[in-house]
Amino acid sequence: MTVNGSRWSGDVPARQTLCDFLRDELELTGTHVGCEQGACGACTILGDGEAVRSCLMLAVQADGMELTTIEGMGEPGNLSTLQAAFLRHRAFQCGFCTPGFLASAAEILGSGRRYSRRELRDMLSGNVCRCTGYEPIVEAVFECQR
Amino acid sequence: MLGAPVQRAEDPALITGTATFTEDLTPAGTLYLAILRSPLPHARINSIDTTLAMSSPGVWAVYTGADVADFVIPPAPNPKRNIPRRFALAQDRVLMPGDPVAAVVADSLAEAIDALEQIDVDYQPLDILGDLDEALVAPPLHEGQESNVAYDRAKGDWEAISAMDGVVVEGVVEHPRVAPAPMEGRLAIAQWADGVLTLRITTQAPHLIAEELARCLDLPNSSIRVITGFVGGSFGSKFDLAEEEMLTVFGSRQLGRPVKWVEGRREHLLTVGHGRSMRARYRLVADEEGRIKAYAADWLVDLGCRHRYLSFNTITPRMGTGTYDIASYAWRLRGVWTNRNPRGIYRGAGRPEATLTIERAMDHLAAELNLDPAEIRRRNFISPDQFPYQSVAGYTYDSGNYGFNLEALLEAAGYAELRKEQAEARAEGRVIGIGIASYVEVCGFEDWGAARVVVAPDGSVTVLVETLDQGQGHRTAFAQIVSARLGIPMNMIRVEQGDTSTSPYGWGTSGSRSLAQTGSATQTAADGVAEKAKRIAAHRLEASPGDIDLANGLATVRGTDVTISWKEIASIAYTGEVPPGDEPGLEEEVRLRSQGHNFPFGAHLAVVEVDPETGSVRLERMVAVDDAGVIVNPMLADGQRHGGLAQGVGQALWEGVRYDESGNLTTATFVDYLLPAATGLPFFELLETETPTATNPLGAKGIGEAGAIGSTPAVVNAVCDALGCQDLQVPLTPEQIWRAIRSNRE
Amino acid sequence: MFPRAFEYVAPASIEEAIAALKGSEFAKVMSGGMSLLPLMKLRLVSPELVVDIGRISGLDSIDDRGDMVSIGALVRHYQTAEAQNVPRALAQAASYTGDVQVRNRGTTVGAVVHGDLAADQPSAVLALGGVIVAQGPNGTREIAADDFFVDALTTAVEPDEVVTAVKVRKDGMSAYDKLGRRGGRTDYAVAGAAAWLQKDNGSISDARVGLTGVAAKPTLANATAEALIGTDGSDQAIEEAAAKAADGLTILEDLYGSVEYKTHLARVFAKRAIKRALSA
Repeated sequence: MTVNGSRWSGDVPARQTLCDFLRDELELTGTHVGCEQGACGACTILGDGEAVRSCLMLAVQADGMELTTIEGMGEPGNLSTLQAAFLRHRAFQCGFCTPGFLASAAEILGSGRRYSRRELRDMLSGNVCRCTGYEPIVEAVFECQR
Repeated sequence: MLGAPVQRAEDPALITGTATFTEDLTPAGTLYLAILRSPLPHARINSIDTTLAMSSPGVWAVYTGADVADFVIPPAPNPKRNIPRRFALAQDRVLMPGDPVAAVVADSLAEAIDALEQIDVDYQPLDILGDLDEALVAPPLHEGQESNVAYDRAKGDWEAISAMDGVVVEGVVEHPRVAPAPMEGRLAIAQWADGVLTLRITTQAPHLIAEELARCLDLPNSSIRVITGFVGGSFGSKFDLAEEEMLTVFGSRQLGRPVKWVEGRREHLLTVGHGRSMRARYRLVADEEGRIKAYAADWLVDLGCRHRYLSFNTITPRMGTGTYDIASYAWRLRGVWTNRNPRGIYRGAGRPEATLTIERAMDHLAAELNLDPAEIRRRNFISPDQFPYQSVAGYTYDSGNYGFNLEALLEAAGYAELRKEQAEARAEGRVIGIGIASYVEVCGFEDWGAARVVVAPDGSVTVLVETLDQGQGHRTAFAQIVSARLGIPMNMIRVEQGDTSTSPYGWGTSGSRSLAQTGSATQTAADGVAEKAKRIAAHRLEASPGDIDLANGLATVRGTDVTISWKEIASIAYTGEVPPGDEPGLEEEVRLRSQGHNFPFGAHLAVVEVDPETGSVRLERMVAVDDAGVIVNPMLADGQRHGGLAQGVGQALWEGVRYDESGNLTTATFVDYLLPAATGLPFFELLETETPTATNPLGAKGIGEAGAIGSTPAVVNAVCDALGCQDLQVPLTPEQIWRAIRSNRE
Repeated sequence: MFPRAFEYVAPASIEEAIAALKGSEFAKVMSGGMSLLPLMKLRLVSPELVVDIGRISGLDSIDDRGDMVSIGALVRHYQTAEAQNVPRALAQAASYTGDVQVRNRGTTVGAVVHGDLAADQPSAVLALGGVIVAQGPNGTREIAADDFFVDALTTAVEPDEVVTAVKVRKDGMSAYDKLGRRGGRTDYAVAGAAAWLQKDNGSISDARVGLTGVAAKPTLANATAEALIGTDGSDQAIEEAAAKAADGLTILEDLYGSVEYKTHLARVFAKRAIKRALSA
């Protein structure tokens, strides 16, 4: 598989989830696990450009996929447009859910389509944020569509 | 700088995945701890067989109750207060679903969980205490106690109020359990070296954790170091020491290896301190004009099976009268043991229960008198000239202007227009409701804050604080305060927290205290540093300290262009000539006591539309006018308000911990415990009024919990308004509303 | 949260998959894993062998097959939701399934085979007279949706069979509607309904209504369909027919509603789905 542009190959235990693989084997600890049951979206990453939950995928299922985690989306000195918008709108507080939101938002922006704020709220509802009440997140994504 | 929406220094790390949360750490040689939890809410443990688990792959140790019988989790048992002992593992009985029964330490978490399944426990099921009213009369859960009533406190003349004439409304307000559910669960990594424990833990209060552990382990505080990195939200759930952290510490000490415990989400929902957890009965007596003559409220608290930090707290009845000038008040508060997990702290902690109760009662009274809900409030508010106001419940409200605040809300929401639209919609068969709630809350518990401002020889500044930012942005707010007082740029200031070996002792972050208490201490410490810096500058510039201004990284003699840079001052402080009477160095540590509690207040308005066929509610608008005194950083303050509103709305519409008839948790995942999602929330309309407090030098009041206090009653009142009924309970499930609509029609 | 240890194979063909299934005491077929993995992580289901059909080619398309449209076993929810040739009831049900992440990974066939009573697409497949195509050691068989859902989380697939496609009829008008757990149409359904209708000379000549979230399994509301046929599809006719939605059914309560409420919702959503289908 390819993770953030780097090739990786090797064996993984069948029962290892993709998020555990990323965190424990590749030490990409920016991907967080919030609920383990596919209900909170904190572990969302991009798999072949689509937002996928890394807690509801086995690592072995990602064989051959191109994955992008938060570590592949920008660096503190070199933020992506989306990250800069999150920063401007303060679209996070504790930051635990943020990597997942960035992945979901990246897929939305990748579609090239423009959505209303209301539509964005629907589309971002696979991610839970307990701190912000969502408004600044919606605003940040909305702004990046323009 | 103060009052500006400055961004946070830590944000780039959080947005790029480079911030280190405690779970991201795995010291070399780490072993993993997993906990076997009771599948039954109440049972005697006849026997536990750990033989198979001990030989399961990767297992280092299996612990049961006997292993940890010497360690009692604080507070210590106190027969007078009916506090039972609390152990890290069940001794002979399990008292709640998910009660820790045994623990496994293994090379990997997967192996530890595998081994849990090899432990054979023989349980003998016992009768359960679920319903509060039943628990009141059932045989005692705890041996040696006379009943399940842990405490029974009352004040005021209940009988007199019962006999009082006038317009009377009575009702019940349920405050079901809700889960704090931060996105990051609890976790801990314990490591011992040379008799010193280092505990890395996600918490709000590192010093409190260290203190509780010291008591538990009979060690000096100085032998325990608690370190907290980035915290993925808390909302009250990471305040006090619990069984799991104790087990982690115990296992690490026994095995001489680092031990890590990471809470699973199911474990969180099963065992975290649930918030609210009360049932209230109210009686409100007024005259024909709607002026309140008396209020009485009886709160029954579902404590769960054991005590936790605020189990015995009386905030709710003491804030019971809210924003109203009520002369006659009676309250009763009873804590009742049940076979549920210990009630804990959740955003608002006691004030939401007080507010939802009286705000429901006020709407009930308005309906009874056919008065507008805004009008009934106007007629009863404490007036601005009554402050400081001595409430009949015993608190001194520092400052307030409730009427002004409510009018600001009504204007912002377009209240009169809304009522017109509501009537028009009704004519079309649409069901719209408008709800308002006025709240006042209390902040500033543990009445002092602590901060140390340290200037390095190069002029850079480190601020060490006892509080613990979990996303609120304290680091930025505190840096803003220091920046304003020292006249130096933000990028020269670093705020450090979360290491008990370096940060000053203090209570941590809770009860919306951080800015008012520790922010004020930070300001006073910065002032101490500024004074000395001015003396140093004056000495060098041959001027009087009183004539020195600090700004733009310079000390300037007022009215001249004679300056010395901040960096030079710092350098002089350590290596140059300090003024006579001063010692070298440039730092200040302050413990600052506030002059009493502060009382943030506000008013919230909700507009809902109900689908009359399904009972489903859609929240259309949420308007909030909050007054937290002086705002240091409006961006951060709004963040707190937004988050609080979402949680308060969640409590009103979706969130509720539920158990089945046999006492087992049915909301054990986020698929069933329904958190607010983006789609169900409106855009929040925020305004503020500013009534400063004189209780602290910043003039700031708490803002962390306000959103969660006013929004729940606003939403409930809106739905009650839509339906014209008074007995709806949170969460406002579609079925409940459908039933109310149906019974209205009959 | 870790599943119990299991063996994993990712066969390249259906035949290999069937052979793997046949050789195991307790195997589970996985496509997206959106339903299976949560259960495995809670250790409520612990197969010895997971047969991941995700790498078998030829299962990822939506094809017209005469008067039916066939949805391959690896077609994701979002593809079903967006495809022009998928009947509206199923497309709508797919678009309300889970959330963006679930719709990206989960499959329509997986949701049907899982047979969750609160899932959206099974009742749409029922209403659309669906056919489930299962391949086993003895060849391929087609199971009518009416016979497919046996009980709670139990369907008519044999342990050594792989469902390769679900087919639904293309003709007629259809729609789906639901009440989600947090209101709106996201989340698992508290209740929902799919309706399929045919109109002939101004009257309804054929109809089927499937219900979500009210019985132990996805269920047809036959009494409603029968009452609707032959009427003019007026509001009153729909109201009367929908009132029979729960007739003859055993309605079950869950965390989100009592029997009484679910019975009511069955009627409400039968009505809404029918009206929505007619307004297409």
